[in-house]
Amino acid sequence: MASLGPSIDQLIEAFRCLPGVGPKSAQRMTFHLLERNRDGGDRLAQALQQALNKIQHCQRCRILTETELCPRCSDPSRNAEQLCIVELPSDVIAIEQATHYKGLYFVLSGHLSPLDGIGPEALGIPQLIDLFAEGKIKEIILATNPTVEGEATAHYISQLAQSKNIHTTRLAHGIPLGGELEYVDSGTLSHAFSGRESI
Amino acid sequence: MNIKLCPAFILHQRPYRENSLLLDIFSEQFGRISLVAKGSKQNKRGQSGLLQLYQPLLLSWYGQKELCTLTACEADGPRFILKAESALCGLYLNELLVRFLPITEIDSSRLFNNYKQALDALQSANHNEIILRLFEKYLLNYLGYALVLDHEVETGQLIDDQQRYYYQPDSGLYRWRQGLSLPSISGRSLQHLIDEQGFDKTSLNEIKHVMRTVINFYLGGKELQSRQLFGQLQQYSAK
Ligand SMILES: [Zn+2]
Repeated sequence: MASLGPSIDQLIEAFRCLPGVGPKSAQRMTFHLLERNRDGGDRLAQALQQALNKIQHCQRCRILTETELCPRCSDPSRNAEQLCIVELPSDVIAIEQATHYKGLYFVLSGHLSPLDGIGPEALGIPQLIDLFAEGKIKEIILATNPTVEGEATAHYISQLAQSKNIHTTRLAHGIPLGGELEYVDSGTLSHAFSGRESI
Repeated sequence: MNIKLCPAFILHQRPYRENSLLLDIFSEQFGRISLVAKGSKQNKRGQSGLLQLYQPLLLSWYGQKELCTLTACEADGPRFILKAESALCGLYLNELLVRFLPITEIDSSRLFNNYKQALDALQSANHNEIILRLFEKYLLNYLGYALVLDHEVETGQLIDDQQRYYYQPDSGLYRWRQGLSLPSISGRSLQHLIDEQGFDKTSLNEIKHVMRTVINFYLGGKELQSRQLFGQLQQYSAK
């Protein structure tokens, strides 16, 4: 692309740090802000700067928060004996919205992936072990994704929990409610089949 | 190269460009190949639902050398479901293949079969340790680094159940002497590895250390990440 000057080039390049944004989309965003929505651009710049300054990871569950402890970890009415372990912050939001769960969370920010060099430290496992060692947690709920890496991660953590005598449960994975067998993909179906329960 | 429906497994995948996936695959007739699956990130219901580790696939692709393009993908049977420890073991197998197999077009049907059988065995989670050791042995054979286990390299003397030995990577089997830093292994344990049966706790432990020495040698000292995982797990559990 012909250059329109260093500031524009820099902004286009900067947008590309967003997931799924390639050169074309980055250029479109840049032109949109500069040509049509400078106020919006101003708000974006300020909000971004403010968020970067104020927001950090909760010292207990590793979710993003403006305070040292997030609202959930500092809420005394929540059940500190249950800890739900998830891969992503968005999983916390999803569970909060969809369930009546009142325990606490721990966010791994990913899953074990040896070929990507992601090991236990990147997932905060040492921190998790410190939580186990406090002795308050009676049950962990493993809510990692039903992928191979999610399963490996869940097993890894369950081994650690067992060595501390903490009861471990794992979310059931199966056919979506209201789904028809015929339309369920084969992976989900075989997973559901192998995880069948007696009734 | 324009390939139609070749049996293959995905060893590793990662996002590529805006909507695509970069697949590291192990194919029956062409060995390890890098494939781009265009637009696969978006259609979660369709193709990418199939593009999972341990799913036997039939893949079609075209392209040259280093990077080919996926054109079609079908399931070639049900996915192997590896749970608990087997899931970690499966990641170890995949890391071995990615680290050892060069990206070159080469008929790999024998090792491909070994891999498929290993996944099948891991699925029933019987004797995971034996499954891993045998796969390591098959991999070394395939790479042309086959271990010569039945006699001493210097003297040609056949192994004796009661004696202790050590394996010098790239050279062969020697009689063990005091003060060596390489792990020792009994003739009995060697025989288990040759026969691929009769394993017990002692022999599996000795074989593991010998295999580790050989594998580390060929990896040029770079540790396998998934092996570190197992080690760290033990450390953490002991805390
Ligand atoms: Zn928190």
